[in-house]
Amino acid sequence: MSDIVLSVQGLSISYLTARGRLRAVNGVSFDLHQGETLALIGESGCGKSTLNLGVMQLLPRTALVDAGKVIYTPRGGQPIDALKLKGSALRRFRWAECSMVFQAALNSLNPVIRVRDMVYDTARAHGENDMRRIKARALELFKMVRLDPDRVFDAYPHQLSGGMRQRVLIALSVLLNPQVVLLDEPTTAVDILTQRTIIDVLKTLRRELGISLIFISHDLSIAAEMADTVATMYAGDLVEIGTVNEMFYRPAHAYTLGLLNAVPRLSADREALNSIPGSPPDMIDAPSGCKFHPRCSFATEICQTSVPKLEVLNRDGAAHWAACHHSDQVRLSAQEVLADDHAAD
Amino acid sequence: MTVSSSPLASDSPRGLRGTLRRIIRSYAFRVIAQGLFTIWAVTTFTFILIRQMPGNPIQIRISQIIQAQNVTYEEALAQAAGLFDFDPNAPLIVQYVDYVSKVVRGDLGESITSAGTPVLGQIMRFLPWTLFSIGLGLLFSFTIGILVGIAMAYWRGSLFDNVMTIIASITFSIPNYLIALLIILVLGVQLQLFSVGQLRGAVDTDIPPGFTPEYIGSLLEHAFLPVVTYISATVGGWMLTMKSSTLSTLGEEYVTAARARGLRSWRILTAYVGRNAMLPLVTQLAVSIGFVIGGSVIIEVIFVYPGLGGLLSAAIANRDYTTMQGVFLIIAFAVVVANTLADVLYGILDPRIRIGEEKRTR
Ligand SMILES: Nc1ncnc2c1ncn2[C@@H]1O[C@H](COP(=O)(O)OP(=O)(O)O)[C@@H](O)[C@H]1O
Ligand SMILES: [Mg+2]
Repeated sequence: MSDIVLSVQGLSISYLTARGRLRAVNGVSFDLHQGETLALIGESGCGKSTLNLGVMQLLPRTALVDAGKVIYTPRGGQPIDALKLKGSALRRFRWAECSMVFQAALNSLNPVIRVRDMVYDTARAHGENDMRRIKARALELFKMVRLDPDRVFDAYPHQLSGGMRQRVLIALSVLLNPQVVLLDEPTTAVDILTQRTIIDVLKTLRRELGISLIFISHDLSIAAEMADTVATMYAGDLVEIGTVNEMFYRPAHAYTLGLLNAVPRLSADREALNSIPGSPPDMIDAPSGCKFHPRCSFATEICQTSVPKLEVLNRDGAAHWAACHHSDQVRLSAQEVLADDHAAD
Repeated sequence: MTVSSSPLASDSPRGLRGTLRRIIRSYAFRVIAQGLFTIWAVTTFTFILIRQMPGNPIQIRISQIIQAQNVTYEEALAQAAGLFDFDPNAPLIVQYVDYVSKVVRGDLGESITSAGTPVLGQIMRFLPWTLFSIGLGLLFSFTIGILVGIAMAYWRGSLFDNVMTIIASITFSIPNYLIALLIILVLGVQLQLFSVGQLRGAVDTDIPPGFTPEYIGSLLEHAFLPVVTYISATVGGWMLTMKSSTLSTLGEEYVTAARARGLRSWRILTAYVGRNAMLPLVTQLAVSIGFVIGGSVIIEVIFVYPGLGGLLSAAIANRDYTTMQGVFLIIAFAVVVANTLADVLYGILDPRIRIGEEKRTR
């Protein structure tokens, strides 16, 4: 009845560091629906990559999952907790159900073997023995991501440009037809033209294959273009989540508003206002109350003492939650900014 | 979005000059030229050094005769001079030109101290044993080092890792001749595990040569101690290097990506971690071959193993210039060949440096 494919519930992840325990993901919950694209935004160091790695149990040894579940519902199957998977069940979950395009995409290909070997390795690991079929599938996907299929299939990674490698990885991520693909900043390391190509390619894949995406980006214009739902993370917390229109036109968390204001606009002439002052906090010794308060222009006393909870904003309208003591003021302020923008147009 | 193509493909001038340029740029030419230069430099250098050693073959023989027969210097000189086809008073440059012009024609000359014995023949009699024992030693040491090094990295911090690290550090810091002496003293003399005397030579002379288990067994038995020495002197280095190389490879993104794709651990271990982690060791292998060959001289003398080492040390004692010269030349040649082989192996393992094989894809 419900079409939720991935439900992250109260997920907390810490790193054990020399200085102490670092809470990189702190009680994060959200649902990802069939065919939905969820954009995760936030400055770097907010825990977005850690969240993704946690879902696939790919965290380094120094990381611990402190709490939470990742409920995954396979096609026509019963929901399972992906964090409880082990051994061959975990291997099957990885890539056949949920795959990933890494942040450091350019180093994600083994430099000493050919692209085709990585394709075959992946297929073989999932019990596929018909290599002719797999080759046909890979070539079709390479064509879909606008690569020259035959040449790329036989190439070594160093023979491909950055943008080509990125597209190889994207094609590889859907090789086994997973339901969910996690994309960690897929457009960060490439030039602007390649960025465009990659966005178009992702849209094509999403349309043709009906996959759900979690899309990490700190480029808000790309998030706006790709996403159905947007979630903002700050210092390990998920501080606001809502439909793309709600988030971009009626943001209710001061941090989201700050991120939006930091996007350079062609029409705007008030660049001085743009960036959020300061930088994300030390997550081993985070500020009390709302972790954003030292950088926030709306902050009052309550923000220093009490941790805001994620609350539903509009009971009947589009889905929208925010964890901010001053969401009303933030929304008002957002209206003014938008009005200014319209006036400037 | 284009990638620069290799310089080989970019310009192709025609005609004789173009052909010449391509030859000079070609990999094979570079390797051969470098190798020849190295061998020439070693030859020249040792030629000069050897002749700077105190005493010359005639004087050495004179003092031997005086000691043995208790005769006067004049009598000894008369005896000795008749034995040698060598004039120590000829100018160095004349000797050098004479020597090099013969070497170029593949003639390493005759032994100075035992006239009529060709140096090349001597070397060919002893070289196989050195190659056999060193080859066996390096093969085992490299393989064991790599396997144990990977295991140490996978189980880092475990008891196994700690014990192996200690063993590796200790054996690595003991010079190989001390290891040889320790083996003889502890295993041979104290524990009487074998009789040092019986293991002299390369093989039991009573056993007829052939592809028989007895003959091969005897070969291995006699090579055993030198091989064990080579292994224990080098394996620690391989283990430690492989461990650190594996550790850094394990942190690579493509290893995490392979795990994300659900690959089996064995496949990740071999094709993703092992193969990449081995790359720096292959380069080191080439360097270490030179060291081991150099170190083998003393090991062969200690174990009375009939390799080049024995030949060389006898030649040094008698100031047999041509034999010394020949052995050094062969060692230089072996090192050059080993280096080239390591280069080729590296090229097979790492496609990024494979030369002129294929153009980049656009
Ligand atoms: N392997 C690690 N060990 C210790 N701390 C880490 C490690 N990886 C990430 N962190 C810390 O966790 C926090 C979240 O990092 P990350 O998930 O990479 O953020 P994002 O992807 O949003 O940029 C950061 O403060 C970062 O310094
Ligand atoms: Mg990240």
